[in-house]
Amino acid sequence: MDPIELAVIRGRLQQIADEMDLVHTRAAFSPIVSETWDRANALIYADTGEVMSQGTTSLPIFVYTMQASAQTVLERFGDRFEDGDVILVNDPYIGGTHLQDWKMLRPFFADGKALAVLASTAHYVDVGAALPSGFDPSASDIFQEGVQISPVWIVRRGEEVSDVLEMVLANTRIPRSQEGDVQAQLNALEIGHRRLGQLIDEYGVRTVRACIAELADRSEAQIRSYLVDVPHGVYEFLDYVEQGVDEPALEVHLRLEIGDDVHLDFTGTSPLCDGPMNLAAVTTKTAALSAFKHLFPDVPINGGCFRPFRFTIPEGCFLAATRPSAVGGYPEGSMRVLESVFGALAQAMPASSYSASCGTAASFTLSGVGENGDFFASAFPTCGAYGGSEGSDGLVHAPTTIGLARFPSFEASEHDYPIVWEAVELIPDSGGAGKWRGGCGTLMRFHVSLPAAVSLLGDRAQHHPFGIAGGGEGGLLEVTGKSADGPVGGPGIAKLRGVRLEPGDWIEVRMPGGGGYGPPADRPDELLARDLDLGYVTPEALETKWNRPDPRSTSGRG
Amino acid sequence: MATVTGIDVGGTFTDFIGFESDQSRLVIDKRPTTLEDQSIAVVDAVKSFGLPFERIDQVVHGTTTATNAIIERKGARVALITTLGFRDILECGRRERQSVYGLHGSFEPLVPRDARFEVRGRLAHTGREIDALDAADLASVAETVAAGDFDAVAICLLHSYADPAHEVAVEAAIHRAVPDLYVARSSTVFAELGEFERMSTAVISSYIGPVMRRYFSHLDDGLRALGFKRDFMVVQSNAGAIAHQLAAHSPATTIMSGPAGGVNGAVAVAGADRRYDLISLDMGGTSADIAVAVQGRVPMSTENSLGFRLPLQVPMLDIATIGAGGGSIAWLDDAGILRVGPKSAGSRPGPAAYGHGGLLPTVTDAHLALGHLLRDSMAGNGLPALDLEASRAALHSIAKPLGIDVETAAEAVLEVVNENMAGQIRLATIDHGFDVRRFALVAFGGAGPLHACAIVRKLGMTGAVIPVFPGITSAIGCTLCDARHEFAQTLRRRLDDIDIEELARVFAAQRADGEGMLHDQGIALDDMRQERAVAMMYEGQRHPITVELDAESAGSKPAMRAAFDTRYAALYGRLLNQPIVIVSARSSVAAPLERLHLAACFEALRSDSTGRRETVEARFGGKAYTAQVAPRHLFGPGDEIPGPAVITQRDSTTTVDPGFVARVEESGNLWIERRGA
Repeated sequence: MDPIELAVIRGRLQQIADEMDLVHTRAAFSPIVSETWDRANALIYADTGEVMSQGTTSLPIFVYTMQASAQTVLERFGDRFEDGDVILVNDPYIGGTHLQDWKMLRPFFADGKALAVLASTAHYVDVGAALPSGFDPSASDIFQEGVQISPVWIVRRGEEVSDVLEMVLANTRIPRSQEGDVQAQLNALEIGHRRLGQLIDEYGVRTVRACIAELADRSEAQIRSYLVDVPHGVYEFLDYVEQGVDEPALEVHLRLEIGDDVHLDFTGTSPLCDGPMNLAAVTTKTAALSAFKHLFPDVPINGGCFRPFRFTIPEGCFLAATRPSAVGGYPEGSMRVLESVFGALAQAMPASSYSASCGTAASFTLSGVGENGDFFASAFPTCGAYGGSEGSDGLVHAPTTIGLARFPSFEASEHDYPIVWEAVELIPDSGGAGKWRGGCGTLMRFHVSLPAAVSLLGDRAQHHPFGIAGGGEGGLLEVTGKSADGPVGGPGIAKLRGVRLEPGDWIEVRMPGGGGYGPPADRPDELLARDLDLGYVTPEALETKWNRPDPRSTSGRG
Repeated sequence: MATVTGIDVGGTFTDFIGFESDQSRLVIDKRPTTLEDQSIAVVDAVKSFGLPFERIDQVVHGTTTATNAIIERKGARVALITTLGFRDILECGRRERQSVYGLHGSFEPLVPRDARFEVRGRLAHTGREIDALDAADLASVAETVAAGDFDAVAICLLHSYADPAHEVAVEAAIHRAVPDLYVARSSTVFAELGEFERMSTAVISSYIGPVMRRYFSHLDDGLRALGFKRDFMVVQSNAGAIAHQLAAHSPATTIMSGPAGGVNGAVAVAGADRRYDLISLDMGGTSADIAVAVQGRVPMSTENSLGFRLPLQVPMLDIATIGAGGGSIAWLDDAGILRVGPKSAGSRPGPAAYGHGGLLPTVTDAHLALGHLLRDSMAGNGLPALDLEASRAALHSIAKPLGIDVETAAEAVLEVVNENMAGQIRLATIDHGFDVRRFALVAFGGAGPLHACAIVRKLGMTGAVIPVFPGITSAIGCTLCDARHEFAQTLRRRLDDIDIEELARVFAAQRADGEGMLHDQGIALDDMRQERAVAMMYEGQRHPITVELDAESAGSKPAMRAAFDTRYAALYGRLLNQPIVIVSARSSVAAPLERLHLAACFEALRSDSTGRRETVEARFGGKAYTAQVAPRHLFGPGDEIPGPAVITQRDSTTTVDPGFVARVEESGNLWIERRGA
């Protein structure tokens, strides 16, 4: 293997995915793609169905799910997956996540044979569910969560299949912007196709194929070299996904066995639930694999780095959902799976692991009829914090650990929807106490200026984000508000369904903070003094959460 | 006759050019940057001109003071004043994290939480007042700021782009309380939608404002003490020069001052050979700045970032900087794959070849090992002879684990760094929707001309322009800047609903404002010109595209629509049947300053006739060659130099790879293209 060609082709495969990300974002219409970046692009090797590269700003959770989608399409369509085709799919039992994520796949042919599949995913806000935007906490099967698209041609041999496009757009309340988003995704695939062609022209199919195989092998070798440093053994962790206030929480049991390979065993996990908190097995796997990528970020992402992992996800458990289970709340369970890996590994190598992040996307959706008489539907990912880790406090106002989606500009969302933001501020004492403090959660409060319905699908209103290595837990999710039908939310409530708001009615979401790392006693005085000065920690919490005197009075300061 | 000087201060060197407009005198100089106080090297450089300061008419300055203050977090103590409930926006950003994978690392905003203050009062997105500005809140905040130990204030209220009245009132209250305090308000620095980006821009302005004002006044004192009688000019990030007092008022516009001077120089230099579709590659010791010019014009960008959660939204030339320079370090990652940069050995310890104790292999070491650089290459920059054995030893540290010899490793290092730059050029051209194969490269900076052939080959470009003085092209670019002012007016209305006469009135008002500002700086308006553009998108999109207007498209909506269609198709492919919105109308109003005649550079170069043609053993593309080596000044217009060749000059070294030929243009530039092209 020529080390020069290997280095060049590695960089180029990355760049192609980056260019796809760029075009996708710029050309998109919906704020959830153009502002929030809830999308991903990747190149997949056709021979193995393994990912070769993923866009630098692409959401982690989509990487392995696109790989799974491509594998299904390659297997199911075989020779019928032809040059110039684009396949559309949102079936979560095939491609993971939920119905809002539309995956598009386009093959790349070289020498008459499929070399690669270009893949693109984007969140489509409204997919025709009973509840606009589809985040429905009371959905009891997938049919209530929106239109299901089994793998289907949206472009056939270069020709747009307009009847399919019209059919899927007929199933959304906001067809105009979503049509623009479809075009943006096709543009991203086009640029990827063109760039990969240039790479092949320059280096030839054989060289590129050899490099792809070599890069996957190198990634595998690299992640194995890190795993060797993890003390072999079995590490267990238990965490919870909440349903309603009166229903028992779902248990996530992880038994993590580190040997030459890594075995993730979810035996003992709660059975399928009636609500939308289930995960398809492919989602469970991608979430767990993302945890290892967070732990070993230097490993270039490609199929090779997934090879050392084996899974046992028992049939019938809520982490192996099958049709027709509802899966709309997948982000919550995914984070519980991902962070269970952190919790388990914290027992083996605390200094390389992370305490829990806020652990909930708490996605809230707002819908209704705008001033112009058209439907509007929006989805907002709320913002929590990360946990502390050795050498670093937790980042505030961070994206979910499974995702990378940003928050739209508050001013822009007031242009787009009848929403008026009242406050966006960090919540004192919500970050877990510790040598390295968890980040503070964010409080977000708004009222509406037109009648609207609000729904929220969150978690962590009853079970705190955990700390590791002796760190304290992060604060809980709290939702309050005033609606046309009276007060909203309350202790332990993480889910709202279609709450009717009249103009002036308001909602406040207080997001959980991250867990702490290490004993609170070990936090240096000057850092704790600064926390107090800046209001991340209050004097009252010194006694209840820190068991520390005020370092400012002992060191002679104010 | 006028006497003009241009000075570019980079991270490593301060570059200077001075000339008299009758071409009777031209001096260049390059000296180490005085990091502790940049003005020392600047004043010394002007002294090297050897003329009394009172005879100098113009000093045009490209600076990195602002950038350094941010990177080193050595800016002013800033108080931020914002809308009640929103002081944490500055810390929260847009909910991003530093990298896709890994959750380590927190964020320190430029203004700590206890220096962020809130006032009651709220506008709707239309600009309509929901809650009046609370007088008591305002008085209390003004009092707190006055009592605090602050150098500057940033003001950013929600929706102030729609109506600045509340921000203006806050500014007035602060001025009453503390008359001399530096104030930046968001509706002045960047009056557009997006509270975090606007707040960040205002904060960055006030963070660097006092630093810039202090530096400018210090330099002004230094120059005046030696007899200089004018106001020196500062290059802005849009490659327009303005008087330093004005620059101190809008400090955020000088962030990319130095690189903008370089791109401006590249475009002007290549224009002398009638080459206008260009990729500008300014490769120095630590980084490479890359920009695209189409028909001699460099696109502007307002979406810029100075780092994690540090967006800066002011109009800048769209320049991308990557960690690829002569000092970039080659290393093997954990998978055993060769990488180069972004870490640099800098000037201390520098490449192993410098003999300052650097042990890690760099791009410069690779060139030396391959015979592209001669041992005395850096003498012009005041450095001792390069140490070949040290370079070879450093390269051996990566060659051994790769199982290759030192020469192959050196070529691999170049291949990877060239690919990094080519990758950025591909991204930059796709960003603007152009096919790179019809572009010419302008390679400059100390290291750029060593990489020109490889980049041209890699991207299939037409060829490469090597300026007469590649190592000081940025300083030359400073003296070629126009005085320039930018204006933007937000419209956010459908193209169908906008009256073309109304648009004409907007542009006319922008022209009048620009004229007034230029006149106030004493700049001749004879050759003043206005460039017009509109930012357009399909209704519902969030990322507008900039459409340049000519006389036809500015005067007719169908022509404007056609111009949009052309740009959109080039950028994204598919046109849509959806309404189009004009987001804003923009003008750039410019007038030329006293300019350098580029021919004078060539004359100055040719005035030296020392040295002679020799040969050197050098490797290119895995093969050993006996290459011609000669000082550049020995070649006259029309001379052809076939590769392999190494062309030396005081401020840079150029390689002509095998299969390429260099020709000396009338302008004195080298034009390098593939032989037989």
